[in-house]
Amino acid sequence: MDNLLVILRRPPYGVVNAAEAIRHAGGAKTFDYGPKLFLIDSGVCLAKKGQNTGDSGFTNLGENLDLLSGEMEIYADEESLKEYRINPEDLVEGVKVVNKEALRQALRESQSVMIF
Amino acid sequence: MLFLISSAPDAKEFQSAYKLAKDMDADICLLQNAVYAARQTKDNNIYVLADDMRLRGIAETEIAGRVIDYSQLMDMMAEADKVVGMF
Amino acid sequence: MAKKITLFLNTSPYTYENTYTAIRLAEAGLENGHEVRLVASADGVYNFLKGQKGKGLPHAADNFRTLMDKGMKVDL
Repeated sequence: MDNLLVILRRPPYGVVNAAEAIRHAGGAKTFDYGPKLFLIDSGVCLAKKGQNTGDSGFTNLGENLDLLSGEMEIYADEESLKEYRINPEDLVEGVKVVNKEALRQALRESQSVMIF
Repeated sequence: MLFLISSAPDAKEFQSAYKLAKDMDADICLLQNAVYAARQTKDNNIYVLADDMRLRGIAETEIAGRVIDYSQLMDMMAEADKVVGMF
Repeated sequence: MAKKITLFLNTSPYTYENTYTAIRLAEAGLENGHEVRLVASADGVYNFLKGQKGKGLPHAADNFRTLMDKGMKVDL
């Protein structure tokens, strides 16, 4: 089966990268591309629980990530989480904490890679 | 595997991508603001895009690594089993 | 050997160098006989707006028009 690795390395809302990563990973799933989503560096902030978009007009990306986690594997880099002081219990449901070797493995295994 | 790195050397994403590429024994091509990194390293095992050096006034004598043009880069991208870009 | 190459452009035309890089790569790819496709997403679609009047930076629409005339396929 075709498979796609989506890597996010930027935090949500301030820039469009997180929304785009979710959109493309979700789209790939629709077409059976077996996507994986990997959060590294400040990209791990996407997985922080309790995002409240209120009446801002922004889509709640944390909720979207939660929905996505029912459809595909979502990983957050352990080192980056430490750096951003996000504990495993602060994470959206379904996000797995992994080390850099998991990222290297995902890079080796995936057919194509998109970086946001 | 070929990593394309375009961010300036002080950027976090530059550092993550560079380390990841090295850990994976992948090829690296520096382009855009990343070409400045080739002036600060002794790592000859990198490719550096000529056009982006020229734009920034960087001479071949100032840098480590191998200078390539778009045509060579495009062929490397075509030949690579995987292109990981742009960090 | 000729290959299919897809470039992905998701930044606006005049804030980043990505447009210029994509133009030059596409040009080289077509010259080397590869099949070149460009997918524009998010702000990348602004590269293809008509009537761009900026000066002092590589002209996004004009350059991509020329490349499309040479056979590059574009999806927005």
